[in-house]
Amino acid sequence: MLRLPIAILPILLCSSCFIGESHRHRPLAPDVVAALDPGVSTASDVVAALGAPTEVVQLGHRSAYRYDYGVEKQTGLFLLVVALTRVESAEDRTWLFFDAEGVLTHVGATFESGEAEFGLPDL
Amino acid sequence: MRLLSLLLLLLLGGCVSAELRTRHAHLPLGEVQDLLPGEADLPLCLARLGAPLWVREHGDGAVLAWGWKNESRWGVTVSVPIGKRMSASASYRRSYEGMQGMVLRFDADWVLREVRRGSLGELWAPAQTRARALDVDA
Repeated sequence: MLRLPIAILPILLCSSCFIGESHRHRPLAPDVVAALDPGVSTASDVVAALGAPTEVVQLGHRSAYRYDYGVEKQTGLFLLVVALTRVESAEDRTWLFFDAEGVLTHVGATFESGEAEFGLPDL
Repeated sequence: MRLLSLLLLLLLGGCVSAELRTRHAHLPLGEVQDLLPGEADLPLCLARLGAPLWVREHGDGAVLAWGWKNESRWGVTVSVPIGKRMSASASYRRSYEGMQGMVLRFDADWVLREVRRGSLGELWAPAQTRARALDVDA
């Protein structure tokens, strides 16, 4: 009767787990983004406040700048030879639209980087 | 018991491994029902949907995309030694990946003109972005 538990013992002893967290780019401050004033702020003001954008898109004579910050949380469970991994990612992202004169016209912002959570791997 | 011992021997030798990997991404999608072409504009869409994933030039206007990701991948690998310096292995992997979302097309005045929903990879191919001549001041 004891043979089966003994046979399973190495599997239990060899199990392990890990958690990890990684970040991409620098965090975006919501209050700094909110302080940018469409119709008043210029592209120079935006770069002075937020730094170099991740991406610049030319839209005819107009343009749009993208800023983002990502968080990725990883949880792993190893049962000898079976590896179960869960990765959850979320990000803050802001797009700023400028007219032909480089004046800010529209702002679209999403702040969700805090929503990423550690969790058990899905089955 | 012999079968169990054989199975355990295979497992301890690292002959069989399996992996399941999932990836989630939070991308909020608010109320979209009243984003009607010809009526809604860019400020309303940004207020409802937040920041888009990407922005591309399209004619005199632009296309903007929003989406959400839910990916899972699993696989099994079997490796068997067949000699002192050789081993044979076989693996099977299957993944389900694809970002679902919506693409909104705006005209030059930032008025919404078209809404498409589905897989982002199929909704808008990069080739649909036209090449544009540069304006050079003499």
